[in-house]
Amino acid sequence: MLRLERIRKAFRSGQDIVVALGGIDLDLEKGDFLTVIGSNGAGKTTLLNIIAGTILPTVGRVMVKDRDVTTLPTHRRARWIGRITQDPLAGTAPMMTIAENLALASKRSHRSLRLAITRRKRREMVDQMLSLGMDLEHRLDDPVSLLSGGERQALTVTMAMLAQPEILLLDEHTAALDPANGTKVSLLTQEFVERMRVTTIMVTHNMEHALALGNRLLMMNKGELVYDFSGEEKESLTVIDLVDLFSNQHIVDDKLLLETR
Amino acid sequence: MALILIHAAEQGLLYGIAALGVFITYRILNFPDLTVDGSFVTGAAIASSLLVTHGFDPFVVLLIAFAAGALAGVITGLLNTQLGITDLLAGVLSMIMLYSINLRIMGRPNISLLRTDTIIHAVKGVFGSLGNMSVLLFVTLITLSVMFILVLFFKTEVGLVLRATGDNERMVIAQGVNTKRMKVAGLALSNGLVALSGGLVAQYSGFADVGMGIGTIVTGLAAVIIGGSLIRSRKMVWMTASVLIGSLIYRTAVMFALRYGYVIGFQASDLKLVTSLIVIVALVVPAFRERMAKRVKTC
Amino acid sequence: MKRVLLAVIVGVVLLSMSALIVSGASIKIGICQIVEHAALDAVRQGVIDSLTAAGYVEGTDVMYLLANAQGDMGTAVSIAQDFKAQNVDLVVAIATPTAIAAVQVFQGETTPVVFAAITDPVAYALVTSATDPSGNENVTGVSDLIDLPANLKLLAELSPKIKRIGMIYNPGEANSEFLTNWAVKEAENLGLSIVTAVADTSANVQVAAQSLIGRVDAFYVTTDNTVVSAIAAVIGASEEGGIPFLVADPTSIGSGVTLASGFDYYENGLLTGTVVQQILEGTKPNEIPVVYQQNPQVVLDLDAAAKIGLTFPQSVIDKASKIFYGGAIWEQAK
Repeated sequence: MLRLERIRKAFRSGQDIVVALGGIDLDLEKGDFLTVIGSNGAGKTTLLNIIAGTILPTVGRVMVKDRDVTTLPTHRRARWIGRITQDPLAGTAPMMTIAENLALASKRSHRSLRLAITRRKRREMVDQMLSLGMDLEHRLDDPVSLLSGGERQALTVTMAMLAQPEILLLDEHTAALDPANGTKVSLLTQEFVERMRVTTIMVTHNMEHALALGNRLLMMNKGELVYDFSGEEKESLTVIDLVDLFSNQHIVDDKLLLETR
Repeated sequence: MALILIHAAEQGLLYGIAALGVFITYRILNFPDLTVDGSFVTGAAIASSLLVTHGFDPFVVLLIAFAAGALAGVITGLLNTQLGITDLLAGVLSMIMLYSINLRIMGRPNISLLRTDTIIHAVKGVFGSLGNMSVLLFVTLITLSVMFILVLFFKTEVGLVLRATGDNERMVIAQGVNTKRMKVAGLALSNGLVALSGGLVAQYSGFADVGMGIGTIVTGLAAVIIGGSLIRSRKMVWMTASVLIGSLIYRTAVMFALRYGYVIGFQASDLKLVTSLIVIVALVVPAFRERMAKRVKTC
Repeated sequence: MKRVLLAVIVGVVLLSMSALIVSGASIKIGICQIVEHAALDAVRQGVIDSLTAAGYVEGTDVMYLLANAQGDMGTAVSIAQDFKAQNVDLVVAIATPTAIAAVQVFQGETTPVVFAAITDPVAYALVTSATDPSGNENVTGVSDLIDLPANLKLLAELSPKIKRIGMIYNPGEANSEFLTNWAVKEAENLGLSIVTAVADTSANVQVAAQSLIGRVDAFYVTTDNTVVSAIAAVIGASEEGGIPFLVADPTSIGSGVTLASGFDYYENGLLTGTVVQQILEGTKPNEIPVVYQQNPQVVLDLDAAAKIGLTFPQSVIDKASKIFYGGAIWEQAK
């Protein structure tokens, strides 16, 4: 489904060169759920950016379903790749209503001069909002700016699902939410990923989540993939094991330790 | 007294179409577009020269004027999206280029439409019995039609994407939309409307003059902002209506200032200064109100 | 009770005041001009003086509504509409843009529109014909068309060395384009050539004038408002290059122009005033053909000529009605 070949990314700042990614190879099958952990600066977001197309790699290829998409612009990759970021405000259009946002998300290809929200569509939207359990089905005509961060992120997840992506990139998408909403959004994501068999990459600072979710775990440090666990190996890992592995890599990251109880 | 209000209403609605154009770029796309000072004249220039020299039908020239304005918008859009020139500068460059182009279209600095069959003659022929109200009725019909077509357009899939491009561009890109193309389309629509307004105003005033577009961006903004401060709704119907209402209020104020302003020594040349002051105040007031509200909370 | 009484008194006062304004047999004449400009102001004054001299006393017989569009076309339309709303009895529109606006607004009405200082009224469709007024409805007026061939001949007469004539003009100004094209054609007939330089704002006049130094033998400026308002710049170029300078506005003599030949704007106003009188006394506008000024006056500046080393030939001096010399104007003795 997704293959990264020898991905390297170097940023130049004046005379200095910073190597963000130093040669990543990755192969994901359809339905794989990969969790990625690492300290800040490990290159996790850069990796997601390269897959999504916001950044071009210095060296290497990105293949989606055996097609080379390395230089394809973001909006052309959006057909297969969905992304949800940490900022709960970034995934929705604040001046437009919930209904309008949903209508935007559900169209994957050529947009026409047809009416965007038909009666049938509205009924579908009501159902979609009902399943969220956040009482949003009554607020379809409210501008999204009136919603809380948690509600907006839940809406973002719904919208990502409507687009029926084949690959979903989650960049710490619950990190900025309060625990209650964070759990809600996390469960919502899981449910949709499982139901639609979406190939998922989830970056997280929460080691428990990293272990509990998905069938594969990647640990990154300083632009390199240092550990890759899957299957039974992953299931038998505990949080303490991970912390040990981190220490081996001489990473002491308060955030990592604090995120995990 | 009634006649002065009728004239103010006519002008308010005709220029209101240009204000709708400014609304699209400024409010919806968040793109301050100065092309309009030029495209307004382009509409007037094309409409007049086609009417006078080639005897086109007065309605057809309006459609052609719209197309010409749209082309002007496309140029600005390409300067911005393909050549990376910032929005303000792209608009200014287009506006300056249009000055020469408009002179070429007209062949002379102004064209008189006095003894040509314009849309106004057609209207007086049809609605003649209404006397002074005939032109107003026609103008109201045309302007409301434009407004409703616009509202309908923004309910379509393309219209929704256009609004979203100005609201959250990154989201729209992630939804697979080529936002560069969207911006160009938005600029085309906006300047098309402005040129349509120019074509109508030329036929209404009886002439087209190469300098008649100066200040279009400011009077357009005044209308958008005055209307926006009166009507807060985010619904398209109300937002577009508020622009027209803002334009009506502005033109009425202008008429009264011209008629009675001499009492305080007000001159016609002071108009542009006053308009800019209105825009500045209206821009600052909401921000100021927010700050005051925050202060109260912290007390 | 007191408040009601007060309101009634105020109401009565206001009503009676408005009655004062409305009543009276005084004729309302709306006079509008496109900008505030010495020439246009002179026209306005000429109109008023002419009517006063004919016995129409301001305040009792006639009331003037004066308006100035400050260069903005949209304002010109609003002014005309305002005149209409105030039910003026006659409109005097000075200069082309104002005239077009007035004719448009009053189209189909009975209110007469008299234009003044318009170079080519037919080209702007103000009237259908200058000589046969029957199709002109409620419009007539006075043209300030200069005698351009006479101007060019006068320049050529100054010296046999004058072959190339430089014209500075604003292509954005209504009549200038027309006059320049006419000059080019006329010059050919006279064996002269025209070199043009454009200035779209008064600030650019200097650059335009200086660009002609060394390329022309004489400067010629017509009634272009933009250039005339920056005439000092052309005078500077004239002195710098030793180039004789003729302007079609006689009132600018004494400022440094070598010579001037043209019509007086005040006189244009007087003529307009007589047209207005005719209409007030019963003649209809479509019975009055467009009036053209005659007999341009020639004025010479000997001081300016000396500065550029020019001596006026006797034939030219004979044509002059006034001479500027030693800092003062001298009338030509009969």
